[in-house]
Amino acid sequence: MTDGDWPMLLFDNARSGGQPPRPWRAPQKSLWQTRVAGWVRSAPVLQAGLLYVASQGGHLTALDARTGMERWRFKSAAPIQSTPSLSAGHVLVTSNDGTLYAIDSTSGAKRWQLTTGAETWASPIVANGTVFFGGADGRMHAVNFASGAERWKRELGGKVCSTACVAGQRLFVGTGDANVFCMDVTSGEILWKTPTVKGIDSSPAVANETLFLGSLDFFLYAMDTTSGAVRWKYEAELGISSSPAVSGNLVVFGCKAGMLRALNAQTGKLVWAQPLGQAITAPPVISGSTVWIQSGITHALNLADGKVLWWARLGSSLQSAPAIADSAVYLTSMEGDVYALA
Amino acid sequence: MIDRRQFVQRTCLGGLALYLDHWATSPAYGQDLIPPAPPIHVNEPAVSERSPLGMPGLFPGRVVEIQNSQAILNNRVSESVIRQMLERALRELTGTEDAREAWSKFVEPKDVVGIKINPSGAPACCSSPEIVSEIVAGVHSVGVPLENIRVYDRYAYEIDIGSYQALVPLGVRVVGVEDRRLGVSGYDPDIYCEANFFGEWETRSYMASIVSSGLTKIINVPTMKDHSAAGVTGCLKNLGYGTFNNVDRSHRRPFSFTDPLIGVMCSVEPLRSKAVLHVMDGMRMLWHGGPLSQNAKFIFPAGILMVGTDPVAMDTIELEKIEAKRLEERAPSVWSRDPKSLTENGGEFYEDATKNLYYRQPHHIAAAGARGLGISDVKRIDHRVLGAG
Repeated sequence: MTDGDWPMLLFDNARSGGQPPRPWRAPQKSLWQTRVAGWVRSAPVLQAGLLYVASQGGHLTALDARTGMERWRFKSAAPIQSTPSLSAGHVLVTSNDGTLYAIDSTSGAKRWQLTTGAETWASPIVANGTVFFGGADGRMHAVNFASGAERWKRELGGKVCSTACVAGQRLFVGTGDANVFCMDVTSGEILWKTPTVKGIDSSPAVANETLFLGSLDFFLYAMDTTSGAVRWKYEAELGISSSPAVSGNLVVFGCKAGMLRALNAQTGKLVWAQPLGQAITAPPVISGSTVWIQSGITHALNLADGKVLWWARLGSSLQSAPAIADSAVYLTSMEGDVYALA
Repeated sequence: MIDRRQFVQRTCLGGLALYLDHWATSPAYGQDLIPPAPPIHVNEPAVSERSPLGMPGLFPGRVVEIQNSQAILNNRVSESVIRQMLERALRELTGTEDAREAWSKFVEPKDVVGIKINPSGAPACCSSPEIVSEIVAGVHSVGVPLENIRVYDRYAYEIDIGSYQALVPLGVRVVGVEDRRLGVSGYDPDIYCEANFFGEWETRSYMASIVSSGLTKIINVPTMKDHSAAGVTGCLKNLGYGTFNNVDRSHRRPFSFTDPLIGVMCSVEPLRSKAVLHVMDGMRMLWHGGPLSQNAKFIFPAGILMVGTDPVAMDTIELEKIEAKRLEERAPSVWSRDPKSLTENGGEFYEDATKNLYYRQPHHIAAAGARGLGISDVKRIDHRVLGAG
C-alpha cells in the first residue's frame, strides 16, 4: 500500500478512519467529475491509481483516479450497497443477493464468487487471508481469500448491517437485535456478547483495546475489547448509524440529529460538538488534523476544535464517506456522481 | 385493462363542487386562485369483483384512536407500550377478544404482506420501527412466514436513514422500489395514471411492481403530518404517492393537484383491493413543515396510534388533530388560501409556521371519499377513543 491508497471503508481494518498527519489545504477545484450507472450508497476506495465505485445498478466501476476515465466495469447480478475492499490485487465486494465477489483489481475479471443467498449490505473486510462479512440472515461468514471457500459461518441472531472490524485475532460486529459480538477470527467462536438497547447498523472502530460503536439507542459505546465491558457511553439526540472514527485521543461520530461530536476516547467527555444541519448517517473520516463528513453537504472541520474549515454543496444527497489521497479527495453522491477535488 | 379517462374526468368536476361551501366561508379561502385540475387517464387491470377487504374495507367509517403518554419518552418509542396499544386498538376495531383473531380478519397464512411505511421524514418523523416490528409480529402470529413479509417504500435512501433494515426481524425483507431517481425498473408499465398538470415532459405515473404483482395484502403505516401541498399526509397520501412514481409533478408553487390525484391513485386496482388495514403512527405529530421537516419545534410527541380500514375516515380525524394543534400554536389553518402566507423561500417555510409553499389541498380527503374510498363526513365517522387503560 502506498501513501495515497485508501483500500477500504474508513481506510483500515480497525476502521480508524485515520491517516498520517498532513497539513490542511482546502480543495481549490474539481479535477474531474463523472457519473456511474445507478445510485451510489457506498464509499469509493482507492489503490494504485484506480478508484473503485460500486452502485445500486449492480456495477463495480474502476476509474482512473487522475482523469476519471473508466478503466473497466464489472456487472453483478444484483444491486451493490456495500463499500468494496481492496486486498492483494483483488476487489472484494458483496451484492444485495448475498454474493461475495473477488474481482481482479487491474482487469475487472472475476476470480471467484460465493453466494450465501441472504441479502448483504455490510462491506467485506480482509484480514489474515480471510474475508469476513455478515448478512441479513443474521450470519457472519469467513471465506478463504485465495479460493473463495467458506471457512466458517456463525449465526448471531439479528441482521448484520454493520461492517465488521478486526483487531488481532478478534472480530467485532453489531447486529440488528442490539448486540455487540466479539468473535475469534479463526474459529468464529463467540468470545463475548454485550447488549445495547436498540439495533445496530453502525460499524465499530477499535483503538487502544477499546471498541467504539454507535447504537440506534442514541448512545455511543466504548467497550473493553477483551471482556466487552462498557467503559463509558455517551448519549446523543437520536440514533447513531454513522460509524465512529478514531485519531489519537479523540473519537469522532455523528448522529441522526445532525450533530457531529468529538469525545475524549478514554473518558467519553465531550471535546466539541458541531451541528451540520442534516441527519448524519455516513461515517466521518479523519485525515491528519481534518475531519471530513458528508451529510448532504460536504464539510471539512478542524479535528482539534470542530470549527468548519471548508464546505461544498456538490450533489443533492451526499451520504457516504470520502476517500482521501495525497493529491485529491474523492466523493460519491447518491445520484451516482463521482468527484475528484484537489 | 380499463380506460377510466371519462370516469375520472367526471368525478373530478363533481368533486370540485363539494368544496364550494367551505371556500365560500372566508375571503382567505377563496378558490379562484386555484386552476382546475386536468383530466386524469387511469389504466388499470379489470377487476370482476372487488374484495370486501379493499378500501374502505371491513369497517367503513370506524376509527379507533388510542393514546398513551408512556409510548414516547425522551424521543424514544416504547415497543412494549406499542404492543399493548396496537393489540387493544385492533381488538376494538374488529370486535374480537384476542389480537391474533383480530389480525386474522385481514391476513391469512398464504398471503405475501407488504407493510407500507412512510420514511420520508426520517429520522425525525417517520413510521416508527417499533410499530413496524409489532405489525410484523401480528402478521406472523396468523401464520404468515416472516419471509413473506416485506417492509417497503419507494425510496431506498430514505429507508436507509430510518435504519429499518437493521431493526426489522430476521427473515423480513426491506424493499426500496427505486434504486435511482426517476428509475422505472421497479414499476409496472401497464398500470398508470396519466395527466398533464403543468406541461411536464413525463405525464405518466406508474404503479410500483411490488404492489401490482409482488404482494397480496398491504398494511399501511402512515405518519401524522402536515403536508405543504396536500394539507396533511396520512393514509391516502402515503398509499397513493408512495405507490406511484413521478408524483412531485402534481405540485408546482403555489399550486397543487394533490387533489384529485391522491384519491385517484388510491382507487386504482389492485392497490385499492390489497390495502386492508391502516395503522397511523402518531407517536410524533408534525404539525408544520411536512412532509420533510426535521425542525423539533414543529414535532409534538403525541403518543397516538390510530387503526382502521377506512383511509378517508382516518385522514379526516388526522386532519382535525393537525388543525387543532395548529390552532393551539396560532398557525394558520391548512385550509387557508391567503396569498400572504405563501413564500418562495424554503428556509422560511421550515422555520415559520405562518408560511407555506403551496395552497394546501386538504380537500383531497373528501374527494377520495367521493370516489368511494371511505367516509369523510365527521358526523358519520365512528371515532372511538381509548385511554391509556
